[in-house]
Amino acid sequence: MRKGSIFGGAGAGVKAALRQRPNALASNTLSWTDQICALGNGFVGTERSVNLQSGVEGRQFFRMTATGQLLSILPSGQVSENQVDRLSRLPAQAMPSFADLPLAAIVDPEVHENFLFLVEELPGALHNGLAAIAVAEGQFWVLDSDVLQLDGSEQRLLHLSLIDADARWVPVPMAALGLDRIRSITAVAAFAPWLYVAVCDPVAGFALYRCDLGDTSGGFEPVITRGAQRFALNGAVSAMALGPEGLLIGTAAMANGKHPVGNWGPELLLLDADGTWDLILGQPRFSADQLRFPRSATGPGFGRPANAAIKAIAQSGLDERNLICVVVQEYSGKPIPDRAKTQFDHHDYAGAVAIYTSQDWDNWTRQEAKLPDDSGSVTCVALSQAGILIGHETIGESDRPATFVRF
Amino acid sequence: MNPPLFILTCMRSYSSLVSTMLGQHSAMYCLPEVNLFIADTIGSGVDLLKMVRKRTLDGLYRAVAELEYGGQTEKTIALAVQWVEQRGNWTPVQLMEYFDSKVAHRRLIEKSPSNVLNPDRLTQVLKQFPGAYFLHLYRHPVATTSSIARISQGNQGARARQMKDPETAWIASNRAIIALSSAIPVHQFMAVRGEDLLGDPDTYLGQICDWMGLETTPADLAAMKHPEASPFAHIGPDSAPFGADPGFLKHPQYVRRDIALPALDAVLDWSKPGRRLSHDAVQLSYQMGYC
Repeated sequence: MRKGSIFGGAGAGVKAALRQRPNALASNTLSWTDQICALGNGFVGTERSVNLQSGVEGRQFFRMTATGQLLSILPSGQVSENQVDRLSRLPAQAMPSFADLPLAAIVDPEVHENFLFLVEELPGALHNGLAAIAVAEGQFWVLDSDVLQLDGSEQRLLHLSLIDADARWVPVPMAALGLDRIRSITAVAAFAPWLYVAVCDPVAGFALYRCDLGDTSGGFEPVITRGAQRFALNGAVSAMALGPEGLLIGTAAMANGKHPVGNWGPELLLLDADGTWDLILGQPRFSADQLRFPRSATGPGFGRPANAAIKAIAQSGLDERNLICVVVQEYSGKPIPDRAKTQFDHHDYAGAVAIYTSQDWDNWTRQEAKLPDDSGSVTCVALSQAGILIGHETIGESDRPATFVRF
Repeated sequence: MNPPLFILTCMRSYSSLVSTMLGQHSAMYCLPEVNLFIADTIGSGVDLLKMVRKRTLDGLYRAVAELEYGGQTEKTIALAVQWVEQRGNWTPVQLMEYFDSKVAHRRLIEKSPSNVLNPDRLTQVLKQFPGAYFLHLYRHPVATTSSIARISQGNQGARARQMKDPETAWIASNRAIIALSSAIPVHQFMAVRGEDLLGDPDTYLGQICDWMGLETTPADLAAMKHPEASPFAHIGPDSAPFGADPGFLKHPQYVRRDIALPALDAVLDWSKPGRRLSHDAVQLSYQMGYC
């Protein structure tokens, strides 16, 4: 059995974050919320931090009330059984059993959902950065990465593995995804019976592939191609979240910085279990299969044709409102002179934040939110009955990397 | 008036063929290139076009001859010229309203390439027709520029010197249209690659009609594949022969074909040896679905 830590990969993310905010060095500490899940009576989540002088990393597990009041923080080293990183939510009846895997679970019968936590040491992890996990039907998928120096620049190599119920790691071939210098995986989600993998392509537009959850042969098939027929204007999938009606897909515009003309705002798509998809919010368009008209009259980017990405999506199952929340963040990276040489990076979208909610997919309300100054890249979001908890980066030790926005 | 459809396009982008095909739908009527929106009044626009290129008035005269006098002959064209002169103080909007009144319930289609030459004019069109639909029709830059260059080679003297570099024209036109799109209500602007439409007209023509809220019967679909049935789809009388692409007027039939897309780094056959598309053209092409 392979041994290793999946948490050694903070370095690449920190470098990217510092590119955006070099003043963080003076503040010593960069912290960020890794993941949040809503519980019936509040939130649970994980935070991470790195001391930029010493390189010492920290990890904390936190609980909050539904109104965003901090109940407890469990720092790394004190409660090793509860040290958690990524979380996945899945229906109660689909709760998997993972023999010998260091997982912890919270079962919340009120909301008919489980929250599965990956604890610190994951046996078998080989690579140094955890990009995503997906859990469904007793299958546990991990996407992790290496950073290599290639031709004088950093190149990220991705590895997709299936961990079965006996804790065996099975590498999944990714040749069918056509990954290369600019085509990389930006999001992974399990939506039974499929594993969905989103591949960015700044030139042709993103592609979404799927394979059977039990398939480890790398038999990926395309589900959506050419940026959902919006081509380079949908260069990447920047967020995916499973909701009651299907898999929600948020895109990143990846505008050409020199000539960002047109409706560059990101889009929100809803993928059905059969692989068909609806345009929830975005640019109407013709396509080879059908006229794509958004459910919402609001334009791409929620009416703001900016170079931006949907950074996080949450959908509440907490009450009858069926509220959906989408966090949009503007591009703050360097201008993109040549899309054919551009790699997608979540950290390049660390600009102005706008939060939108809807109960009917059609009408969207912008929620007023004041995030801490220089709060950096938004990382995750969750909903309670009282408001929205937004996870993000933050500089310094005084600000917490999560902000609650009351409805 | 019924909300018209403006086809916004760079020259040599299949606009004559596509707009005429759409005009064969029972609920639409395609005008020839009337070039109405280059000035504030019809009179000043006519004066301007007479100075630049008189033949660009052919479409206006043919439209008036057909709709006011029931056909296009030397006699009716002469009457149309007089009719237009008598209405020199009309605005382009008034003339569009007149055309609208003559085609009853059908929606007008206007596709003059001059509409995109001046972004300010485009903005004005949007203000004057707030309910209008706008369709961005475009074609691969390698093929478009080659086609523009072939036309330009037929020009000489001052007119040849006035011609923009074909690639500059392709970039400027399409960028102006895309920039305008941000100002148009999201449900009133759509874009389509000409190659897709001509390769699968049943799908794309039907979707365009759906978008405009028009029911499309099998008879409509069949009619749209016969653009030659349009009263303007042929060479007109000697006094006003054009009003659309001359090549289309000589061969107005639609023939279904799959159109090959050249590589974006292909050598441009119309320019100096070894010239390829510029960086700006390539980046814009990615945005428009070519790669």
